[in-house]
Amino acid sequence: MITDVRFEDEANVIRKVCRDFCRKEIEVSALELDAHYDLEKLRGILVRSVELEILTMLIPEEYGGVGSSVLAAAQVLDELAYGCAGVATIFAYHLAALVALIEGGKEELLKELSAADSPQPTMLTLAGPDMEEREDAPQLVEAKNGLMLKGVIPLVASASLADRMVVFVREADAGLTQVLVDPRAKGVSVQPDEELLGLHTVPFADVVFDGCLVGDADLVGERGKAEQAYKKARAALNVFVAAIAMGTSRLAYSRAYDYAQQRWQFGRMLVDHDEIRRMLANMVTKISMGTAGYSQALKVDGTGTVSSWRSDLAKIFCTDAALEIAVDAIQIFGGHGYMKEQGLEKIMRDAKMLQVLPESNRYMEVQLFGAKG
Amino acid sequence: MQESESIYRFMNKETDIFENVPIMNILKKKFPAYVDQAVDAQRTGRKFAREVIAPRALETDRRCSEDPSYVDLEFYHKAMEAQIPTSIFPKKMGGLGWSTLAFGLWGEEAIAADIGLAALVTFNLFAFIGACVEFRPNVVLHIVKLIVEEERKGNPFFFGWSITEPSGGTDQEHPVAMAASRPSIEAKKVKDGYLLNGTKCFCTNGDLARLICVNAPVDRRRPLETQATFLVSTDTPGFAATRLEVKCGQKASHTAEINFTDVFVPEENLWAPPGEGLRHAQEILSATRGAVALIGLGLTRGVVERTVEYASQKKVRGHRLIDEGWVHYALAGLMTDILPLRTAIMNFLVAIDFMHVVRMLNNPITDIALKISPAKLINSDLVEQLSGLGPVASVVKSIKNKVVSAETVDNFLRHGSAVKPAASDLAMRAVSVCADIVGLEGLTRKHGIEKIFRDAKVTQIYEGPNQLHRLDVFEREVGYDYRRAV
Repeated sequence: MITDVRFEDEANVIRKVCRDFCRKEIEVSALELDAHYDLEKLRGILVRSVELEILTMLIPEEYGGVGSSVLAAAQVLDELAYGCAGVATIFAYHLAALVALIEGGKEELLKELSAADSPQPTMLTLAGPDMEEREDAPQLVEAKNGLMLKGVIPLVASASLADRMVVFVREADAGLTQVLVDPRAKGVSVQPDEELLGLHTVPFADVVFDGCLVGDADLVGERGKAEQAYKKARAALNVFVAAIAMGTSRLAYSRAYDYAQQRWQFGRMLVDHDEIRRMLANMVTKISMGTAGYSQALKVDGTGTVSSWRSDLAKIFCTDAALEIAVDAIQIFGGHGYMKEQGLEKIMRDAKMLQVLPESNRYMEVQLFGAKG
Repeated sequence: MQESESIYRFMNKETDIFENVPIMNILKKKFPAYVDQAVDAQRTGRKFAREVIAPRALETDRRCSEDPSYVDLEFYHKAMEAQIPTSIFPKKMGGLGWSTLAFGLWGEEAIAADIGLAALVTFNLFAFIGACVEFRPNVVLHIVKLIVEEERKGNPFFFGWSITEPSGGTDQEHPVAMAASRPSIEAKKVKDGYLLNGTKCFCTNGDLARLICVNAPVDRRRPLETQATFLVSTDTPGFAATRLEVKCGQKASHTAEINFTDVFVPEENLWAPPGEGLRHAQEILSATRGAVALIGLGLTRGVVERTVEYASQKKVRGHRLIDEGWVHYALAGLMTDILPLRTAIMNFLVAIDFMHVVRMLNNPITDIALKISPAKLINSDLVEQLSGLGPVASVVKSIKNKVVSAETVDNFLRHGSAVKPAASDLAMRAVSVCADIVGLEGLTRKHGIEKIFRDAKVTQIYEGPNQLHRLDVFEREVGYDYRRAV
């Protein structure tokens, strides 16, 4: 019987713990949070995750963190996404921001994050850089008392939830700069949450920077030298989104498989129809290959570094697969699959969002080749 | 107020069927009134969609999300003023006398604006076709009169058609599946009628309908041999809409579970007698699957139009999003499918007008009868009663069976079962491709693209899942008997 497509790390303790956490904390609230965004409930889940050290797992041991790899974090997100892709996405943006801070050498902050004894964890998120070359994209402006940030970033994930925001600013003459912003600071305004197709657990909102001061302590690394940090953070985010797509796909698949074994149609069990078997087999194939794909998204140099190129491929493959899997899972359920209570239409909406996070797969494909790549 | 020019050039026209379905030019020479009416319906539909449907679609969707029992009655009244819910009834009976083609062209425009609202005012027609299929003139006359009278008074008259069982809808649409199924509902023969007991699910308008056409076997152990069709008045004791579904999309149109506890149905409301229930359902489906294809087409157009609009206004990398090559190919891939599919569907609708049940309303005999009789007489109780008399009814029935032979129905089932999956699969592909083009910002609620994404999926499921339709096509193409399948 192929009900479990996790083909590795079964003994991995972190994974097991996360799976239990997911069952207890996330699965039960997923549909409710999808229907009504509830910050208190969400904060409750984040607070209870502190014990599991998910939020600090990427911080190196010397700064008091767990020192896990990006791939280990991705596997954790895969587990969490089985409960809710949205909740996992909040973790993903936090962890990707950590990658940027680690690369930027933000030691003090990293120590502070892992040592925090407050029950409320400090949540991070990642914003920018602007890939669309918008006219109002954020810029660093020289002012009397230092640098100031001016501009708008549309639809920042976790915007109204985050305590700190890692912002990448691209300047025509100075290159890419990483800035740490307190979203509650003067000169920053987080607009009301936007309603989107899916990932309703993640508050997405435009963030307007209207002359917010950027002190030396807010610069992460040198001005104009953040290309590497961004590349790493983006590669990590790609792998995380791919893992989330696989986690949510596993849920769709296991639901569809169970249903196909219970439902009688045309004088036989659904699972005994070749067409349904084809769909289920297709799901397993995609989940297995996708999981292998993101788990292997490393450079070939043997250093264990995540490869930008492979992370792009994994993100494209896994999120495309997730939508196809969700659509087929609904088809197996028939009319019931279209109803909110089954949770499958949520997976479909979430999967579509993952395909365009942080950029549309179709545009990523165009970017994989050529001068811009 | 004049809308601003759209980059999508067909959007700026009042009608486009002569360009998009070229055979209409030829048809117009032979049947000018028929084509003129269709063009007029498209023009009306386009205006109605732009002025009435589009401005309220998102708000209605939101209200239905908050409260699934909300009905946009204000909208229904606007549609009634335009006589849309009764548009296909003959003029002399109080309708607009629209052909299926005209109705389809109006519908396509409405669906492209919003399927939820379009469904609210058009899905009644499925049940009306159910009445036409049996074609007992007194039944048809009675129903038409009832609906027209009520809606003239300003009372919406919802009509449902319910075949899906809690154990499955697919089983209700195929003989092999039906023979192997165990429906929950059963009709017991009693004096002067039947008692219905059991549950049906996913009934459109189930909570709003005054009349519902229901399939039920007389012996649930032999559903295929004993399936019958009943007309149930929902104010009959024992009937209850027990649950309203909370759906992913198409929220403005209600879907309910309905329950029957000793619901008495008088003998005259037995439409298809025991054993004829599946044939009755298939005859309806042979016409309506093509209509559901129209929904897929309308949704595809709706999402493509919005995406073209969005991409032509959205600035990226110093140019418009629509100026990027990958966007051209993504959209063109959909447009190249819209064009042939629309021709196929319009072809289907024309065929319904000339070859299927609605021909009964347009055939020479009915035409002459309608022409020479004053409206008052046609709509009188006397004619309704006379036409219910055995001899009259059986003559009309035999004409109907000649006009719409079993072979005709079968061929329509094949065509309908081909265009429906083609259109609904295209709709699903279109919403996904368009979401990829517009990206995160385009998927915020205000652009309406996310709503069409939610609306589209169920078109692959309702009116039978696409898997069943493929099977229906295969059997009819190859002359294959599914009972031999291993």
